[in-house]
Formats: sequence, structure tokens, C-alpha cells
Amino acid sequence: MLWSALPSIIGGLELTLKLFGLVLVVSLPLGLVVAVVKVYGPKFLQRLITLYIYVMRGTPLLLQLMFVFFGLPYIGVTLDRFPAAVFAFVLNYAAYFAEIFRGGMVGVPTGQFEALKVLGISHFKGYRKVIFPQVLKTTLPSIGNEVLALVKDTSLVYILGLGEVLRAGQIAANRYASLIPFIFVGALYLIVTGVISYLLNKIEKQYQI
Amino acid sequence: MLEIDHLGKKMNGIDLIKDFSLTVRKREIVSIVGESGSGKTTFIRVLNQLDVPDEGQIRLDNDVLFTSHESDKKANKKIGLVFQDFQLFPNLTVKENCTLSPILNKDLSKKEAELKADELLKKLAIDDKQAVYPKELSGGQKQRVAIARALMLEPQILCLDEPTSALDHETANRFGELLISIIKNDVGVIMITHDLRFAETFSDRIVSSRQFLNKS
Repeated sequence: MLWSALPSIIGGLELTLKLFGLVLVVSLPLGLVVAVVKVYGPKFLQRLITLYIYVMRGTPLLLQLMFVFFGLPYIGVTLDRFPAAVFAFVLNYAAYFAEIFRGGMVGVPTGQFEALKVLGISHFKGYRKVIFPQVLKTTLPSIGNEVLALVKDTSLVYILGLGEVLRAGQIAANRYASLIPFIFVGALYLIVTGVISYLLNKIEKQYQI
Repeated sequence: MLEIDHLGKKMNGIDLIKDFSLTVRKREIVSIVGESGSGKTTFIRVLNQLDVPDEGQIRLDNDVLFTSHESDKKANKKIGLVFQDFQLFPNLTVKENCTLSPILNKDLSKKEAELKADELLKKLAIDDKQAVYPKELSGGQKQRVAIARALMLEPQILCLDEPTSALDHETANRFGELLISIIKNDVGVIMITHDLRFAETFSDRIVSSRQFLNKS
């Protein structure tokens, strides 16, 4: 029974991982840029970003997914299911990452910036060599939490009719009137999050100076 | 020779420094003593351009380093500062802390900067710690690294903010001797301190922070 459902579940896993990877690769740097602008940017951009973060954190991701896929066509922007999912996830996760990075940035003591100035090191070079590594060190645990949450949140794309791994498992469970596909899907999630946790721990250790 | 000419600085509308002038020669240690809140730290921050003066001019060997509205881009390298809490970069080793600025600013090649750092760290008796991170150092060791980092830029004036606050009597004395060896390389030192005994032992001149407001 499980064997016959396996190809669709593996196909679902592929979609889940593809969505996860794409969202992570785009939303992490975007979150950093948003955080830099929120901390150091002009006032009007800071206000705009505050509003963006408020909306992203204050409404359910499921609603955001529906808005992007079903709502945007009303203003002439039509996206396929997968790009719509990626777009909504990137917007949502970049907001969370931005808040994490912002917290790390304001946590760096002012004296570190002053030491860079006294040593005649420019903002950009100082940020790259001194400030950002410190921000990364303090924010890695929170980023790790978000990364793991992202793996599980990808299951929300069922609302757009995308066949991610949980949806594939649910279809198999309905077809065979069995809970085994669910158990299998749960095990797959545990394997994926286990590998990611292992990698995150390794990265964290590298930065724990 | 550093000339501080008619310096003025207000904080929240109150004069902390007004019409204050001071000259510091090469090979001279000048201590500034006074009670908390009397503007000592503000003075050293202004000298290092962390705060902008409201009035006055700072000159080094007759060249204007900065005023309230203009600044020589190289002024930061001519006046060095060792912070009270050192502000070493925690993500960099002792040696990297020292070589970062000369390498990033292309003043020296990586090899030259490392050789110079080796030499300075050896002189400051901390060369055995060059591969460790700041959190593994004691207060006195951090201070010596901070001094080495400042000296890497070959400043003509070295400012020290409460350098003995974290040191015991014996280490403070060793530090004083170190200062005397540093000024032999034509460096002038301006030191802010609460430690009158230390100031009297190791300074050429003591200036009271009451003089910031021209009080006797």
C-alpha cells in the first residue's frame, strides 16, 4: 500500500524541499537588507518597513498565500501556483528574518562602532569584518528556529492546490483509509528537520567564538 | 606637538568644555584628573572625533586636524584611543584585531601588518596570545592588545581613558613603565584617570578637569 503511494509522497517531498530552498535563499538576504534599511535607512523607509513587518507578522501566512494567489489577479498580477507560493513565503519570512537581524544589530555595543571609527575603518568594511559576524553569532539560534518553522510551514501551500508532501500523504491516507502514510510523512519531516538541525548546529559552533 | 585651541563643547545646552586650551608635546604624558561628570570622557571623545566640538581648533605640528566644521580625513590615524573597556573585536584574534585597520585601509600589506603586529605584541609582552580571542584574555592583557592595536597606526598622540581602572597596583605600575617606553617613540600621551597616585608617578603634567571651564 505504502509502496504504491511512495512516488507521489516523494514527489511531494521534492516540491516541499524546492519551496523551502528557494524561500530560504531569497528571504535571508532580503531580510538582512530590510533590517539594514530599518536600522540605518531614511525615516520614511523605516516607517514603510515597520508597516510591512507589522502586516506580515500580524496576519496569518495562510491568508497571505490566498491574497497573493487569489487576490493579486484583481489588480492585474497573476502568478502560477508555485511562484505565488514562493512570493508569499519570501515576503513573510523576510519580515521575520529582518526583525531577527535588527535585534542582532541593535545588540552590538556602540563602542564597537566607535572603535571602528577611531581606527579609521569605513562603515561598509567595518560592518563586513566586525559587526556582521557578531550579528550572525547572536542571531543564529533564532534564525535556526525560523528555518525549521519554514520546513513545516511549507505544508500550507495545500491551499493553492500544490502537491507538497503532507498533501500527498493525506491523499494516500484517504485512498487507503490508513494512517500509515501520515506516519511516513511525519518521519520524512523528522528526517529533513533533523538534517537541517545538524547543519545549523555545525554553523552555530563555527560562530561560537 | 598637539595644540588644542579654545575648545568648546556643550552637552544638552550646558557647557562641559569652554575656551579650553592645552598643548601636549611629543614624549610627554599628560594626565587629566577630575570628578565624574566633569567632561573628561567628552574631552577625549572630542579629541578622537567621536563627538564634534562646538568651538575651537585641534592642530598637530601646526596642521589643522579638525575644527567644529572641518576635519582632516587622516586625523583618526594621528590620534589613537584606548577605550576604558578596550572594545576589542570579539570575533577576531589578538593579531587580527591589530592588523585589521592597516590591511583594510591598505596602509600595509597583510605580511607587513603581521610583521608589525608581531613586533608590537612582543614589545608589549603579549605575543604568546596572538592567536587567541579577546574573551580568553585578562583585563591587563586586553589593555595591552588595545594599546598594540592603537599603535599599529603609528599615532602621534595616544589617548587613554581610565587605563588603570581594571588593574591592580602592581599591574598599574608595570603599565606606567610601559607608557614611558611607548613615548620614547615620539608619541605624546593624554590620559584620563581617577588614580591620582598613578598620575603623579607617571605623568609629566597633571591637568585638572576644572580647567575645562577655566576654573582654578
